[in-house]
Amino acid sequence: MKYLLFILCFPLLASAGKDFTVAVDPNSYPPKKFRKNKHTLVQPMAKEPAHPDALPDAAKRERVFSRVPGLAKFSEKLDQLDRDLLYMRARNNESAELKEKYPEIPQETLDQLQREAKKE
Amino acid sequence: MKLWLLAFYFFTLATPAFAGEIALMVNMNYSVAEWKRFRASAIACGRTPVSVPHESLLPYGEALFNQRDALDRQIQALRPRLKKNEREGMVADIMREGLKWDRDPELRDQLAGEIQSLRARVQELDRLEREQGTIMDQLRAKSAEIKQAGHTVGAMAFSAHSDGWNLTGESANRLSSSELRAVMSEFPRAYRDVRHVLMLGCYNMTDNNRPHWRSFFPYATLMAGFGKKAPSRSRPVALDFISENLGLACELDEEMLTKGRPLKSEYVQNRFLQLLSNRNTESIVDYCYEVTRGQNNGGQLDCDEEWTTFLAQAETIQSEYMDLSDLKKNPPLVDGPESELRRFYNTLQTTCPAENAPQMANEVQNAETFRRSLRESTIRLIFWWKVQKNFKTFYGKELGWLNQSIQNAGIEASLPELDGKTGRVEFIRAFNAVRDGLAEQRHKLNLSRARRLSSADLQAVNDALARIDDAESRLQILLPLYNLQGEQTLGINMTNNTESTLARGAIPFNWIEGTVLRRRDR
Repeated sequence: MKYLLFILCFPLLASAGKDFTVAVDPNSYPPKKFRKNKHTLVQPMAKEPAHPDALPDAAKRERVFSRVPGLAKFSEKLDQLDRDLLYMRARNNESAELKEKYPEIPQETLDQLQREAKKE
Repeated sequence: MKLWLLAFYFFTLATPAFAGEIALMVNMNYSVAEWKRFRASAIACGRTPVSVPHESLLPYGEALFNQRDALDRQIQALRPRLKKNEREGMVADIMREGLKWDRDPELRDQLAGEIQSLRARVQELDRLEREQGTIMDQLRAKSAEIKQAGHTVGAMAFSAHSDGWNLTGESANRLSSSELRAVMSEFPRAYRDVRHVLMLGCYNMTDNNRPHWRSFFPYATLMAGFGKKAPSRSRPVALDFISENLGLACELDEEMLTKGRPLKSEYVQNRFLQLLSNRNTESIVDYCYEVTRGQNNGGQLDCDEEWTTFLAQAETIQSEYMDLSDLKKNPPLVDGPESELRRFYNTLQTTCPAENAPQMANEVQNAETFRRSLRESTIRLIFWWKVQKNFKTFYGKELGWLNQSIQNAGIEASLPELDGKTGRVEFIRAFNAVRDGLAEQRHKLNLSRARRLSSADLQAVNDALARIDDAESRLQILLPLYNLQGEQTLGINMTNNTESTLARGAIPFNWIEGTVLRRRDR
């Protein structure tokens, strides 16, 4: 028990006695290389969540598409731009708007796509 | 479908068999051998060959590059441990500095005669190139001559290195896609009948880049070039590529005319594959939009090469669609598969991760940030017409106040209506004119304040400055539309909030759709 308490207290112990905490973006500069002294705690900046309207990278988009049975025969004709638009509309539009944009895709396929897109 | 359109054009609108046509070679590599082969093929096909640069300059250039290559071989013999790129860098330095080059004094002294002679040739070619102007200037001058004589260009060949979209020669000469398009647009009649095109550098005919060159020559029956790797121009197969493909294209065009119908694609592909120069190189031949591939299917680009071609495309797109100081083109009114912007967006998405490209090793984060920013801007550009309409709907009142404040400020410039029909070029130019007009007016008023003014006059100047302040402040609402950036580019990570997105300078993503937005009530 005392060891568990010690582990739980460790973050507080680590920062005890530090006047400043500096959060460093590891993509810009390695936190370990940041010049520090006894008054400063340097830690990696927490990753902020992406904007809800952030365009997906191709891998993430295809991951979502692969989880929707029957979508491939409609999506295979689409180029990269149209695939991104399909993904973004599935994530952000209402069901009726999506159906209007993609009348050739069955409703259940669109519904499944919306569910999968909103999970990511 | 395209085949039939091409055939329709060929049989109804095209001029009869090549009489009075020019065959134009843009010979940026100064290759005498390629020029001779191209000239012979042009004459055989009933065309008059011309060269840019002028053919009299070609021996100067070629002699220089041959001497450079000989020096390279000598250095290789004397310094066998040097890597190829180190040696090439050394030769480039020697060409620039001559006997002042001092990285390896012993080597310099051993090769003093060759270095001096090479430097003299470099200086002579520099002088000749300065006299002639840039390749674009020379091409423009030649196009004017062709137009003056009432001729048209029936065939073109480009002997140059390529990054896929832009051409560079062995010397410092360069011809970007934008420059070529500008010249061809300036002389549309001269270039409307280009039927046969040879792209003799690497990368031009890959799947990503071929549509780009096709957009220059949509009615050409032949576009022939290479995928990943073009053969060195000193190799016989490179010369055979010119004469064999041009010769066959002439023959097939005549056959089509005689038969009065398009040729079967299998027949065409077989004929082109019978040519050794196609079979033995990474050739890619597009005859009437049917593509025939040589060795290795035209070659597969590695990740470094993908980034090279992507960055080349980005340079052109930015120059033509995104340079706010000199915007050249509007996005197409109707988005479709032939749209240059759409093709560029597809390239953005399919280019490999920067971390896999050795040339990007120290710049991975910057490269991916650049790519993401371009994606966001490009998609908003493609849907520019909807974005501007949504902007007007959202900011209807504010735009009215802005126009009033510009009038009150007393400047002549004004902003166009954002009705979904205003081109981006027109909008950017108008914005710049208003912004610059306000700045100029402010400057004049500040100068007048330096004089001794009566209190009434001083008050008038201050009132005028206040009106300028008002107009400049209201003009800021247009900045998101001006810059056309997205949320990720500006690091906006908050939940979807139109007001805050716009306040931070970004256009919300959903504004690319035809959504009717509620008017802001103030």
